[in-house]
Amino acid sequence: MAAIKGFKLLVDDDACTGCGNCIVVCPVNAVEPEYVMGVKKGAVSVYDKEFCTGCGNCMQVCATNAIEVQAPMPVEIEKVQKVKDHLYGKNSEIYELIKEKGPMTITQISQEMAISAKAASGYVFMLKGSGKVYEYEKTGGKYKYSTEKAKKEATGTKGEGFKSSTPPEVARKMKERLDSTIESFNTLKVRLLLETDKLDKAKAELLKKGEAND
Amino acid sequence: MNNNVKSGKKPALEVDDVSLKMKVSENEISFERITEKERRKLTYRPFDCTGCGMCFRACPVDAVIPGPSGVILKGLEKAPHMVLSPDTCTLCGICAEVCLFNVIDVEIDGKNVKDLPDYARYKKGYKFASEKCKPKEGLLCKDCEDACPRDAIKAKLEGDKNTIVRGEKLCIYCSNCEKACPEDAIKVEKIFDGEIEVDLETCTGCSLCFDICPSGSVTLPRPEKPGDRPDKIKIDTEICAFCGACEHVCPVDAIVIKRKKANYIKSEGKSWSKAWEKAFSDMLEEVEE
Repeated sequence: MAAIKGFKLLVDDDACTGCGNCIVVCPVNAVEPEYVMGVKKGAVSVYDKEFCTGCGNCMQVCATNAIEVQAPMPVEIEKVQKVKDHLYGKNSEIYELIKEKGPMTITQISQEMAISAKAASGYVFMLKGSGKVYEYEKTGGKYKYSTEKAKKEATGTKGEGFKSSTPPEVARKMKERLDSTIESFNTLKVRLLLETDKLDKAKAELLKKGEAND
Repeated sequence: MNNNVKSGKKPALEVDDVSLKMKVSENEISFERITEKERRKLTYRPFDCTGCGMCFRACPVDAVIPGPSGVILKGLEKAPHMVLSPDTCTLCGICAEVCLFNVIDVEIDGKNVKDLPDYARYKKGYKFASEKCKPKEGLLCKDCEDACPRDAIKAKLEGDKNTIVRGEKLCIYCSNCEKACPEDAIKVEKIFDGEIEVDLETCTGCSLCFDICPSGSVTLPRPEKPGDRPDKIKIDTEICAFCGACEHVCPVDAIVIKRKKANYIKSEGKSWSKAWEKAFSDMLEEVEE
């Protein structure tokens, strides 16, 4: 009935087990010749998205949560994405940089990315925590970081290694806080629109910076 | 910003990238258009919205995008039923007048469109005869309060007198209270009148219409005797507000609403009266289809 539709029907092929529960439960599939979804090669494939009415039966019944009906978001998504990238997207950029150029020290990273060494070490710390980046080698008291694990095990006793200037508890809390904010950006679809106060803060900061530069 | 360019740094985010057209507070989404001559503002309260799709059907520029109402009703995703896109919306105010639930407001220079006489609107008739309203066996009678599906009525007992207070913004003129009143003190002039057709063969009995109905006119009958096979759903047109929520939400289009009468005041003599006439009569055209 509806010509315009804001929502999307998404199926995660990796999580889908091909059990066919969603196909049985879909009310539109029962009405011929309209056909929303069917099993093909062991995974659900969506044939005609247009017929989906967004009733949510398939989402409710899926055993592995592979189906998602995404609601439209009232905020201009691109802009939010841009701000999100600006605020939290640096570490993915750094990961790609390290992947491209091989082992790098923090000063090298900070020079390449045009950010302060402190910020760079923070991003690297986060990447290290999530297991994306490893300590590769130690030269002149400084560690080099790489996406691959070092062939030799790091020399020295157990206690040595990466030492952060911040105490571990504080660092853990900081990481948790950052992770939670990133998660809230990623998962809370609608509450995202309530996060515009974050955008406002970012805007205010930018204005402040602009004034300082002038 | 210039300093960044000189030092060869990456250009930072600019203020225009961050500023949104929409303003979002806890319960409201709003956007405005400011010109030299006038200032228009639209506010939408998504958490009070029923999701009937009236605005979606009436919008002349397709600025209303409906969300997955079933998913939202089941609580699988927290999202607004409708998304009003600020890029296409012309802020004409038709959606605000057409909405039965008063969740959309359009303001022109600070004045609500609903208060301005130049625009077409629903004729809302509600008569309460205070002399007929009596306490029940000396105690407070609140039959109408209990019957109201929207919690719009509150009954009070002041001395020997029984009175009611009605929230006009919450009322959808479904006439549940009129039916419940033992003294016939309330008379409701319904906004729409008509028929509802349910195709019981295609109906899957998913009960989404039962969940969404704002007036409680949809019921799921139970068998009285063993071996009884009652209809999957039953819609009582007497207490129906004809908002079209069930028709909008039905995944198999088994419900067809045929509105035959609409109580509304026309706007005459204005350049926009034709468009508004069309918006209101479009709701009735479904009879001929």
